[in-house]
Amino acid sequence: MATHRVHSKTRFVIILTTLITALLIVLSGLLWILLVQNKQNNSAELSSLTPQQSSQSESVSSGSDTSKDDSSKTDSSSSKNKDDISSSETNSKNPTQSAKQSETESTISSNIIKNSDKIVPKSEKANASYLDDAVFIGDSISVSLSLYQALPAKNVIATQNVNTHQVVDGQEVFSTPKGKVSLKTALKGKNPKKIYVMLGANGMNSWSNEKQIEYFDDLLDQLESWYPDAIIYVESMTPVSSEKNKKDKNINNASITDYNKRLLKLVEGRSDNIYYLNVAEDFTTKYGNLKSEYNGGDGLHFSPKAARAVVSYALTHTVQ
Amino acid sequence: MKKLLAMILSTLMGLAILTGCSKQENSIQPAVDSMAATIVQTVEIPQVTTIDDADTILTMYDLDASKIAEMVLLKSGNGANADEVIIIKSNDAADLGAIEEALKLRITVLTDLFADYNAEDMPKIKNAEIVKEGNYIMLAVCADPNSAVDMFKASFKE
Repeated sequence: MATHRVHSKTRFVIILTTLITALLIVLSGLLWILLVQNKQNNSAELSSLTPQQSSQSESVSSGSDTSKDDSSKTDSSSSKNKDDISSSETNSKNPTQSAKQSETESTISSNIIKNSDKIVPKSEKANASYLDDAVFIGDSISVSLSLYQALPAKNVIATQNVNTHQVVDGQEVFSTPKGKVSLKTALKGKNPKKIYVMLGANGMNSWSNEKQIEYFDDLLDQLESWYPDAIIYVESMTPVSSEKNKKDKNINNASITDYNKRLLKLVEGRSDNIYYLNVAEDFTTKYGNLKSEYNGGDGLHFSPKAARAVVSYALTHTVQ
Repeated sequence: MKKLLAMILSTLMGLAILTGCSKQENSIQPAVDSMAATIVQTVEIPQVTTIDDADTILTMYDLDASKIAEMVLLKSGNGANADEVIIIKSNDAADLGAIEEALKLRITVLTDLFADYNAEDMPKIKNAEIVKEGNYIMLAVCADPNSAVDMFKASFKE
């Protein structure tokens, strides 16, 4: 009888131990699943905040400077972590997932942008004469504003291949019929009251976004010192097409989104005369790419409709 | 008296012939925008836009506007391509020399712009054609400049 009791007690202990062990295994499994999910979320968030290196590297398209100075490119683009690269590889295998992630990125971006009071909100459409005393400074993307005759040529100071560093450095990069001149020379006699600046694409082949924003900061210093009474509109960079986004390792939408966020942060820290004009919001599909009707052929440059859209956006987003 | 009459008559005939020839040479004066419209239908120019605004053209070309009767520019508007075809009708054929120099300068500017920017378009600039007819001149920077030249010349034939 006593032996039977002992056996019964032993059996009870064994069953209890087995149950506890099973419970621990199940709990460990659940914990592991939670950890993996958390890691994936962090990875997605990180990839939306840093430029993403495309797994398919291709030389830069026609719309950009091909002379890349790797030595001057700082770590932010080269220090892509494994999560970013694997995320990129996964995306190339699964376009749907990639599109969903792009959409998430776009949502994150727009949420951040909407929270800033430095963004020029939509306003009643101004008369076209509002831009009579304005200049639009830029690269080949802005060249099209005058070529498509969305703006008079006298209001556009833009030339192919220009980057912010060259401009702030006073280099003679803006084309005239008689040769190239610096920004200061190009602005002579214009005395602008509104200055719109869209720069960044060409620099993406040579510098990190962080470095480019430093150059932009210096450019704003210059413009403010030359024209202290002018309103300066810092234009967001417009996105690239889905095709270019996949192919271009430097000028892609992750990099542009990151650049625009940094640009906004820069503007937020500047004086009252400087504003952020979020042109990109009108150019972007819900998946974060350039709208097809705005594609000028290579996925980066403007169509005639895009050039008109920039001007329309400028007229409907004015500082009162 | 007969001699004098003959001289007057022959002078008049000579003048008539010269005037006739002169009229024949200048009888066809096509509008540059019509010429451009014909060219743009055949010659491929990416994202082409037709520019007839003098201010826009003069930001690119070092031209003396007072010497120009008409001008039109077919241009790749996207900023990424070098393609452009400009047709100019001068007020006087004697001014074409100066205008031609401005067109040659434009080729130099394009070379400077695109050499490090879009090397794929450099052959278009290297193979650029300048052609003249009467008081007209054209610069063609495009993939097929010879077609543009043929159409330019055809504009002066009846």
